[in-house]
Amino acid sequence: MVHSFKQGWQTLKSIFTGMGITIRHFFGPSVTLQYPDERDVLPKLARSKLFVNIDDCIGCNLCARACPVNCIDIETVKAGADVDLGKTSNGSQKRLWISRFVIDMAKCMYCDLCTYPCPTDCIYMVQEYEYSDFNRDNLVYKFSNLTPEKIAEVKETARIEAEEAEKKKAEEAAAKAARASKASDSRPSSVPGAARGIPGSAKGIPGKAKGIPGASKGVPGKAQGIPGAAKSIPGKAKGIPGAAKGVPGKAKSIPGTAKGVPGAAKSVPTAAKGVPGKAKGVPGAAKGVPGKAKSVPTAAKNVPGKAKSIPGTAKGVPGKAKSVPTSAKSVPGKAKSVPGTAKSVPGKAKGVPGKAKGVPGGGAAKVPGKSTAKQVPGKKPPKENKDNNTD
Amino acid sequence: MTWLESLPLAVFVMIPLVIILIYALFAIWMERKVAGFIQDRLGPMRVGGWHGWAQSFADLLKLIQKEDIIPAEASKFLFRFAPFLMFAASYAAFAVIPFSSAYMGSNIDIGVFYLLAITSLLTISVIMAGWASNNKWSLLGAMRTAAQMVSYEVPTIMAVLSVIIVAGSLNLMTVTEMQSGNDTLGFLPNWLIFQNPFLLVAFVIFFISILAESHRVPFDLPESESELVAGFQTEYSGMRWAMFMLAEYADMLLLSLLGAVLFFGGWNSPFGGFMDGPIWGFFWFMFKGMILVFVMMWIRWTLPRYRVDQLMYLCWSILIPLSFINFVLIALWEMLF
Repeated sequence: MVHSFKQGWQTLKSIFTGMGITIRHFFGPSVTLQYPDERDVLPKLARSKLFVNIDDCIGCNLCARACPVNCIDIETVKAGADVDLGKTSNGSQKRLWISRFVIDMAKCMYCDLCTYPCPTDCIYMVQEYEYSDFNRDNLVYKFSNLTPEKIAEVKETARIEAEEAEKKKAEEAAAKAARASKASDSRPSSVPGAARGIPGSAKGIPGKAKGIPGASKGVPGKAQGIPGAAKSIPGKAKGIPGAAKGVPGKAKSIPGTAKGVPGAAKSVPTAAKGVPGKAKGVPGAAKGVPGKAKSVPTAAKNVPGKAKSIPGTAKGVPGKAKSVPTSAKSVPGKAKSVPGTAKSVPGKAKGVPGKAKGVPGGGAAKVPGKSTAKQVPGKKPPKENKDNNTD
Repeated sequence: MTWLESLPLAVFVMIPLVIILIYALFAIWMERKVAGFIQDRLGPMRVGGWHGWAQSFADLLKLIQKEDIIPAEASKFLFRFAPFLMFAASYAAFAVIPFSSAYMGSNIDIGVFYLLAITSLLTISVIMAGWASNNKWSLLGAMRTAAQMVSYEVPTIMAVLSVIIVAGSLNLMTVTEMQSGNDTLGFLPNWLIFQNPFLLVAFVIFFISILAESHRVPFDLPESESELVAGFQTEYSGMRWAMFMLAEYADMLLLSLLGAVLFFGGWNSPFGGFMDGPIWGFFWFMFKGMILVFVMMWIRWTLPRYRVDQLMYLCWSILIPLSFINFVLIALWEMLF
């Protein structure tokens, strides 16, 4: 009973407290700003709309590069040597025609990052924020003050000048090349079909096979292998294939023996032990058959001082390059991990062997989706009796 | 009695309608302004110029233009009939309200009884609307309303009866007339609220109950926007919906005016003979009613909504016992003094 009265009293008290608060606000001032009639004073550094003082712009493109959303588009044309474009207000010499300076305010996110790099402070935010429009195209602001005719003229001039320069350069280059070829006649730097640099990327082969064999990251022993990255002189591996950051002698590379069971790729890692002077690599050759990826590990024996490597033996079939980059660094005391055999179709590497994560072949183990939809003929879900439902 | 009685009957009975319509337009605007001010806003400011005074007219114009939609599965006749029944019930109750010493729609001796009886029709029309809409939310809202209104009629009637004991008449004009003069404690007006300490309790009960009767916050469960998507009004649009709103505001005014008659001396001036007369009487009466309406709005923008079980608990476990005890105490007081 006493409790009830206490509760009742509390209720009344809180109701009157609440009503006291609301009535104070009722008579208190409102915070509403009658917008079109009255406007708030913007802070000094308010970001509202970009403006470019094109007379001061030197066309350095720094603002466009700073823009995270690429809303600034600048095109410049080199001015001829005999043309003086004048100076900016802070004394920088202008050397470029600004044939296009477009800011898409519809894209702009008002981060203000473009204004800081500007060397002449010609791009800045102005305090205008009422420029909404029904058409997005009207939000693209053009700041270049050149007429289309003028732009065409300066472009033509620049093109002619550039052509002349190119000619000059080409002549010089030809002369230089002639001298160079004489000197290096006896030593060809590369054998046709040899893989250079990027694993599996057989350069100079029609079809440009790009494979990433043996990119084994995060393998126990931390073998970071970029196999096949071999600048290869026939008979002598010079590159650093599978630059292993492992412990010398204990670099383990796990080329993924990938069994591509549809939906569940299993990789049985086979360890490659690299004994100083005797690097044994087991590169997993993954053949990416849709739904069934089999990897046949092939062992590579590297005898110190006598590394047998077939770097990038590329069969240069136009449009279909088969590169077998096996890499081995044969420096004693530094075991190397091993690249896989990559069968690479131009433009699409099938089978990324040696990938520690055991994913067989990029996209190779794809299985045509099994359709789960079953149709039971002649049986439809029973329709509800509508009459029972309504009143 | 007065020149008003010499008016043709049609004009005579239309007077409360004019009052209701003008009041509704004003109250809708006022509701929004009160909401705005309490929330540190301004409310409507644009339409019409000064503080958006024409906002209600704009709303009305909009509602008239709206498409009149009747759900395909609805019970067509009841669906159309419900809003008008609701407004008719509210309007009919104004017949026994003494607006001024010169005007009262129907000077009958069972005024209070008639008023309470006719407002029960509101419950019926709400259920009718909810049922005819053939919509679950509407029906749920309507059922809540029925439960709520039936429940809260009990404390309302008990509080009104307490006043009737003191006043000794069911005729609201008589009740008002006996409150004229400024004799209580030498300076206070002879309003019933000052006549008897227990009538203060009766007024609190009465006011809480009329909040529930007119579906105002915190008892707006029938049309709780956040739970029942406006309850029984869900399927209504345009002018039919406007009729509901009109009826609701009319109901609000009706119960506030009833409160003014029963507790605050009706059309009597608070200054005794000063500023008295039929015109002033009308002014004072509407003034008192509008103050109660304002308090209702004030409460609306202060308190959250009750849960349905709390609503029933408050009614059956607190207000009804309290109103009965209060009724007995008032009766005792009247016997003793």
